[in-house]
Amino acid sequence: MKALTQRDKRAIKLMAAAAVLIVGYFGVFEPTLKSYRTLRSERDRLQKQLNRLTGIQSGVGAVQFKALSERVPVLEMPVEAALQGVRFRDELTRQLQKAGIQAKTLQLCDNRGKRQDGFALLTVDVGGRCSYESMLRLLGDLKRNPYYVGVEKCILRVDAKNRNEMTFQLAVFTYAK
Amino acid sequence: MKQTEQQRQAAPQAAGVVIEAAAGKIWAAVVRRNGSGFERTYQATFDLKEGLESIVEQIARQAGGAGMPIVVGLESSRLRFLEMTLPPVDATRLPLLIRTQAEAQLPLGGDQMQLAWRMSPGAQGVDCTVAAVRRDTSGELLDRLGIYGPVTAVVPDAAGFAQLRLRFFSPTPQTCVVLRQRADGFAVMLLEGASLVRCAVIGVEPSEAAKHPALAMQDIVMELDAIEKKCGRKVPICLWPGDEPFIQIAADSLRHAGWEAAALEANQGALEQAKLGDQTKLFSPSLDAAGLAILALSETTPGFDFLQVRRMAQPLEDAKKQKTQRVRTLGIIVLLLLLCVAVDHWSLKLQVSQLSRELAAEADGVKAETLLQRQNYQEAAARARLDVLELTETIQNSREGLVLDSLEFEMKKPVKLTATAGDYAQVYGFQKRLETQNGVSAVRLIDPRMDERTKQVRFTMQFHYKHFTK
Repeated sequence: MKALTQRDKRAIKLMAAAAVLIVGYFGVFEPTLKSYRTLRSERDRLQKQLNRLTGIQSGVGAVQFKALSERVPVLEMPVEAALQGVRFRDELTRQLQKAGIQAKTLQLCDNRGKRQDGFALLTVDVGGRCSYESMLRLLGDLKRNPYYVGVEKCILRVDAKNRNEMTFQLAVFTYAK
Repeated sequence: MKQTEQQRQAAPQAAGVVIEAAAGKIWAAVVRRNGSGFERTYQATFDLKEGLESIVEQIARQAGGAGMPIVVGLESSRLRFLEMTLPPVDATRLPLLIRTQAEAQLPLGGDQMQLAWRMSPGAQGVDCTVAAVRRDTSGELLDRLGIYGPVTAVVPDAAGFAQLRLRFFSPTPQTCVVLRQRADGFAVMLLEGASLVRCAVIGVEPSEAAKHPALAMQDIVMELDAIEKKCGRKVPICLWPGDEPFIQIAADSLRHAGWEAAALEANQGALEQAKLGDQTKLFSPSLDAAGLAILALSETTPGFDFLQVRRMAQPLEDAKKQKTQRVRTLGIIVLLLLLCVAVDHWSLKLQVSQLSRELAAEADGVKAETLLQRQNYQEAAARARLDVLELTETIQNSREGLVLDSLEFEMKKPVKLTATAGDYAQVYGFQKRLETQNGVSAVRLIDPRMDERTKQVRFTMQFHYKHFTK
């Protein structure tokens, strides 16, 4: 058998090195890199969450959290749509009564699967007639409703003959799972 | 692999290689022993771009002589020979001493040239002739050449002719100068037996030299004077090939100047027996290559061996040690890198598990994760929540005597209000004040109309409020 020349030996060595590199890359390096990247993003995500939690205790985070708490002083985490809608409507009814407003219409709408911020949107439409003070009471009291999220629509029309009275149409919404 | 002197002298065949960097070519010849003589068995020309190491392998493969000694010849026209006298010093200090003196004589830094030398006893210490080559094409080739590879020596190509002179030419004095016509000019070689002592190439086209011999002769005489100074006497001159026009002129001129000059006669019989006959009149470097191959097989220790100088600077053990050291260092670096990656990976895992633990911890029966979800929901609700009271307050702050009739707000639509004012100025004042309120923008007055009956202006106004109406 013919002996291998230096060139052949070098070529074989190079091929062996290339094979080791290829196997090493796909077998070890790439999976390690992937796991490393996953770990890094996981670490960053968790760190961000922890920073958010600890950030509300002092500094700018605390001020922001205070403002947030003033805007949303009470809340209940959303549940299934059927239950959430009923709870929201009942609480709103109680608030209307408390404000001394006799609603002519009060209807819960499911909005046909409309979603916002990742939640299902449920609206309660209320219409009727009330005094200016009652309306102010209701609007001030709305944020005490733990299921209330926001106002979709609000139309207030002052009675021309009795300016203390007004007709109103209010659509308020809540989030559900 | 390093070849010992005995292995070299017992080898059945050897190769000689001449590098002609200017022509970009390499001439090679393989010579084998034939009784007491030699016989050329192979010759070839290669392109320099193929690389010396690759060519050496090709020669070994094609000539069927794996492991045979190979001597490489550098073109003498690229070499500069210097004379120096050295004090008797320890051999280990020689390279530094020679380099320092060479730097003083040449306009080149030590790292820009490679040196090789030949020493002989002198009147005041040691006489040393140094061959210097610039680290250009040839020098780089030398740098890349493994010092313990198949190449046994790297010498000036004229060393090949020194071997040929004694074997294939008519008898000449033991020490003589050979003026040889080459393709690129004229080589003036001082030879001592089969060894080269000094060489200079006068770079003049032979045809040009024949037309204007004075200029070429001036350079040749200068070199001959330097040789005379070195030897302390006029050394006999042999000229070859004697039938060339300039060589004849030079012989006459030298004789006229008092030199002993005679034509060198080739022994055609011996040349043909060694299968070198066809090259005698072609000035081909292939002839020098054959001479170098003979040098590789002969007992002559090559002078001006650039490889030997490099070996002196780096003995085999050192080279091995250095290689091992390099591999070890590389291994340590790779190991450290792996360690760093592993530590980083491990610390990342630790951080993730620590953070997960902290977030999974319960405070007052509530998990951090639950708190975060509540916070996210709270933020979402705050973003979506319009404070109607705040909106009415904004309008009230700008009202100043106006009577509001209605207020309409719908998500993603401008806020619309209708009101009654005493006059137009009041309306415009209201618009201006409203525009300055926080969160209010793009205030538009729509259809202001004076009611002739009540003498009051009824109007509608639209505006955007924060992000709720956009």
